[in-house]
Amino acid sequence: MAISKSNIIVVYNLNDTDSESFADHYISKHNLVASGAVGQKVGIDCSSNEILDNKSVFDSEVLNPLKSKIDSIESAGRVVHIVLIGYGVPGGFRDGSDLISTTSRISRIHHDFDKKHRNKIYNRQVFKRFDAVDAQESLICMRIDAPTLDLAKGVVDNSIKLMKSSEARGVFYLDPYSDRHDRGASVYQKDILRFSEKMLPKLNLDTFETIFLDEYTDVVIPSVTDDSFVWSWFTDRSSLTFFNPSSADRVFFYNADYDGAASIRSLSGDRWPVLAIRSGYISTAGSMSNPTIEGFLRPSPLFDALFRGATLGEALLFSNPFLDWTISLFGDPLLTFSFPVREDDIDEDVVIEGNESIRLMTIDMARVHAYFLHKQGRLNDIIEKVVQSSDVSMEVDLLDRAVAIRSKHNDAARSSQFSMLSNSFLEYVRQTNIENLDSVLTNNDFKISQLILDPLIPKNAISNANIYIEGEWQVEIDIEDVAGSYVFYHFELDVANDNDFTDIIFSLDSDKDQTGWYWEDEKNEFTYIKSEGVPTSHVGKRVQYRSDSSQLLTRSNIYYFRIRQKDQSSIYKYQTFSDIIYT
Amino acid sequence: MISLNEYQFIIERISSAFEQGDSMAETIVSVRDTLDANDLIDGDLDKRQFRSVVTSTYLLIARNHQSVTTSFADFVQSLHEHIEHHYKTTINDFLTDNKIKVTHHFSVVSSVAGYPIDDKNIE
Repeated sequence: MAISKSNIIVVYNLNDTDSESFADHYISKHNLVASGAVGQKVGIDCSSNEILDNKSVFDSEVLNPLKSKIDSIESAGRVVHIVLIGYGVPGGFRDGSDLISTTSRISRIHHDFDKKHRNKIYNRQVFKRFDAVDAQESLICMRIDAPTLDLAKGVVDNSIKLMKSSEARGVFYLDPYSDRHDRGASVYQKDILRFSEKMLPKLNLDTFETIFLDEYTDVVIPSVTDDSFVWSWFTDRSSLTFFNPSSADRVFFYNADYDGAASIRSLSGDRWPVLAIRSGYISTAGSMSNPTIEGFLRPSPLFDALFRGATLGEALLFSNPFLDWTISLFGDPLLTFSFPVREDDIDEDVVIEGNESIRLMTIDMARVHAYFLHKQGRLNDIIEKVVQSSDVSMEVDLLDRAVAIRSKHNDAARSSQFSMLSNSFLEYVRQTNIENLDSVLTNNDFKISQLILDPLIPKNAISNANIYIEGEWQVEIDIEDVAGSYVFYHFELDVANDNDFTDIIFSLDSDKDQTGWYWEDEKNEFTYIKSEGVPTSHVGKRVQYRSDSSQLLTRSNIYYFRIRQKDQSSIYKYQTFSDIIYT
Repeated sequence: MISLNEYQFIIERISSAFEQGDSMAETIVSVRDTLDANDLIDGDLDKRQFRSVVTSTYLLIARNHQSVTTSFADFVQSLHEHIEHHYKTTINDFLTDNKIKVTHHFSVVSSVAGYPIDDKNIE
């Protein structure tokens, strides 16, 4: 069941009347239960310092009292999955040279501190709303704080206003480029560019995107006007003049840098989160200290979740790679809104994308031919058995009729029965893609079985490079959540002649050799598995093994396959299946 | 006359050949399902035309590969005539006496060929 406002508690500072005033404001605006055993307003006896000196102080002032309150509320019957850290409550604590954010630590309040803990529900490639199972791993935790009480209350008021109007329509400002150029920076830039290419168009917003100049220049967004979203990185200081007046709701601002969220309370602050809050943004995020580039929030999981109707709190948790770490999340975790929807975006999950459907249909059509050939092979066996018999009467009685069946299943019969299917398929692809099948195969790095092409006229419709070598094969499975924690999976595959796997032909292990192993990194896009394996975030996506020329099997024979996942500490059960060689 | 091993080999191959018809039918239905689920809205007319061909192919498979065709029935008729003539017994007694169980698929073919198989001789 999806989370709701009944699952939230609002935390305030017992020693700060403004803090309680903020909590009352939030409770009132969301019609929450203020008091009683299941009351959602929770006071803790803590200091007003934004940063506490160390973990020990944080545990005694914030974590332990809060945990005790949550336990008490839950034993009275309210399930707590969301924690809002209110105005005037400490925002983090020092741990060596790092500043650990309260939102990140409290997300894991039910677990021991594990600095830079990988977030198991980060960037799930198959979308699922936050639920009770996820809550065992981490709670949703955000913070609303600001230089003044009025600004903090304004965040709540403007969030409610957006929820009532329901739709964010302002400009999306995106800056994919920075002057950083190590491997982590390159990966992060690619993530933003991929968001720009794949996700941003779905939001159906006007966009402003910076242009790449050279690797030494941090191209910046000059200023924003009528903006609803900003996503940029580096150039870590600015001023209020960056924000021109906006007629649109200012919804989410993020600049990935190393210390933006070190303080959200200073009126003279020139870091991005406080400037964004002062300029009317209702949510933002930032690093309290260096999270490393791999620790920055990612735009694709955030906006994908928001697009699908998740709350801001869920979406930010899904986009945060690490917990017990330095990223602080600001805003109303209950905030939901929509984007201007295009009709063709509705129900996108129930359809198969055009090119993927072409790939799947070519495989199944080839299988139909392969089953025909398998049948042909069985009939050949009968003829052979009759001919080889030492008994003349058997040959006299059966041979003619065995040959008669076989004649109905020769290659000419196969071509005749399936020529219309193959030719019609080619025409369908040409009409729907404005290009022929050969171009579709080339452009998508697909191959096709010769079996489909046998009945075709003309015979040379497909380039040789786009046709499978006879006996090539591939297997594909969905990655399952078998570990229950954040791990990197590898895969073991056995190919056998029999379903008992006593006659194994190949045994392959992606941990030892990644050759031929692919994973679905983006929807319908497969890339090589790297030596570290496939992360838990890709549960529900697919992994493939593609044979090479030394592993050819016999066309139209049926083989047995079993694949199992493994991680650093465990090996899991096999998924077993059979398939016919259709290439 | 045909040996027991030869008979069992042949009926296993007949049964397996017949099973391929079911696999072909299931797979062509999968083609149609994939076609129905794709997002090529602009190609609706072409989709309908191709879908019509896929459906025709399914009907062709049902007729030629899932049904007992004359050639299959004729072969099994000859096979069982041979058995009854040379073993001087009925096909069902032959199966029972030799503890041979046939598949459901083969029993269907045999029945169409005029030699119904008793339930006790079917797997």
